[in-house]
Amino acid sequence: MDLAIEVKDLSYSYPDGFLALDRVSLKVILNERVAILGPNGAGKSTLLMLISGLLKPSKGSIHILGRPIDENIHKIRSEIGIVFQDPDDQLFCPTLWEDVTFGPLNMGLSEDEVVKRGKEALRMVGLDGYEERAPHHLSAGEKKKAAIATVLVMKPKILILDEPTANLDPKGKKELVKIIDNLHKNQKITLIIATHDMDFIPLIADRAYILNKRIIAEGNLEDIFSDSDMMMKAGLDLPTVTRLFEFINEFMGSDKVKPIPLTIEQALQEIKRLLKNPQ
Amino acid sequence: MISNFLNLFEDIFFNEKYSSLNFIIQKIDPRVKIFSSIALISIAILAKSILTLIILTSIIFILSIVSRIPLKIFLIRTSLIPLFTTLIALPLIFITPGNQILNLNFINITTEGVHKALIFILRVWTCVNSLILLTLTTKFSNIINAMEKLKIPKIFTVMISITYRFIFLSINEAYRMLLAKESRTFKKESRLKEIKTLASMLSTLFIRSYERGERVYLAMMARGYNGSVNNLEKMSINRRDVVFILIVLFICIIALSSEYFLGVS
Repeated sequence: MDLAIEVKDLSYSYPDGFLALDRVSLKVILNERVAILGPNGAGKSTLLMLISGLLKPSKGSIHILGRPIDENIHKIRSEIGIVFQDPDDQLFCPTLWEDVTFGPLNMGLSEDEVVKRGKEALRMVGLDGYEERAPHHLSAGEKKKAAIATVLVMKPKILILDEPTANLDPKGKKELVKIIDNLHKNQKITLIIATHDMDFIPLIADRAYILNKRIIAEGNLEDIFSDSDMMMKAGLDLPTVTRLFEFINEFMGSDKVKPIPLTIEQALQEIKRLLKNPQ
Repeated sequence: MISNFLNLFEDIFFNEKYSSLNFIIQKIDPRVKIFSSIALISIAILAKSILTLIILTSIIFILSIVSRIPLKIFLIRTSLIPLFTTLIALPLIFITPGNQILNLNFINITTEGVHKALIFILRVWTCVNSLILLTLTTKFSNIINAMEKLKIPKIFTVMISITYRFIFLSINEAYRMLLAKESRTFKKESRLKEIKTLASMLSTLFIRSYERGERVYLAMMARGYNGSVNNLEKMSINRRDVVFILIVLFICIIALSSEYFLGVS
């Protein structure tokens, strides 16, 4: 079990003294899909920026792929890609192609390699043919995909996504799930996704940390979502389907449906089963 | 109303559709175009006669017409800055001593004054014309690349390209703030109150831009930014470019020599 990320007792205060993270510890194994869940202002973005070495921790340590982050910061930046919440922060060149080639050119790759990777990254997010487009003329969904491409092009081993579904329409979300799925299955990328879009989580993660300045809970999605009181206290909720099946369980006498389904597909199986033998 | 204005603003000043056409000026290498623009501007600054300036401006107008840029668009874009210049040049008419055309008790208008003001305005207009023709016929990213190829320091080119990229965003942000204000304004406000609100909006916009700047910098750092921006764009100079630059140089030499040696004025 190789650790992709190991965070120990990490604290972070803003320059004005406001404590954003309080003794946070977490571990992510290679090729794992981990969600970081928390309400607004829980410190999700701050944690992600610390992990990608963009902020310096006040206390505690971060190891990426077994190496401490502060010593190897430039090497690590090419191995860990972060997609910001607002794609407008990430696309800062006049054309999409320049944005996509920005990272690999900074890595000092050869021109052929940069072109090859650039085309490949755009194809992976379904934006081939968009090379000469100006970022400010793209739609929100296209901007998000473009932002992902600008990071994928560096072939990171770890991909960090900060609120990837923010501002996306249903079609955009579906495409995003597909892209993330492909990255995890075919490229073997380790994924860390911060979100509070509860219906989206079961589609893209296996394990989750609940964060609200501190780590409140950690575990597989089934375990985390079975503790609905804890989720509510943390300012979160269950996926819609899970919430529904909680009511069904209550209505039919406890624990009729176990494990509680998290996605619509799982729910469908469960409903079929219940219909076939009601007892 | 505001949105119409903003659309018009973007359409007039940032529309790139004429740069992707494929006529004479659009085909010329951006480096050659930048060089030619600078050459024309230098001549315009050195020129002392109205005739030379009018000829230079006409040449630029002809170039814009053969590049199929609508005359109206070209005129709107080029006349904004000379409008301000006119305001600045206006006092020249009254304060320059010389032949009086009109003499009221306290106001004198002199031939020399009118001449000076005209030259000043024409000079600025020629320079603006030359630059507008460059930006209208060249994609912005190509201008930046060409500047890099011409060894202009990276710090300038990166700054210009990021500024350009975020102008649209700032305009949109300002627009959204204005809408948010409008939606909560229920009666006609006094001018003073309105100015106060606008001022506080401006400061908010400033802080927002500053914070976005920080985030963009982080995004650049995350992708390995270390002070230099590299670029894949390739450019090549062919025979058409050489002919163009020779013509421009020829015009410059003619203009200069007629001014300084033949004494045309």
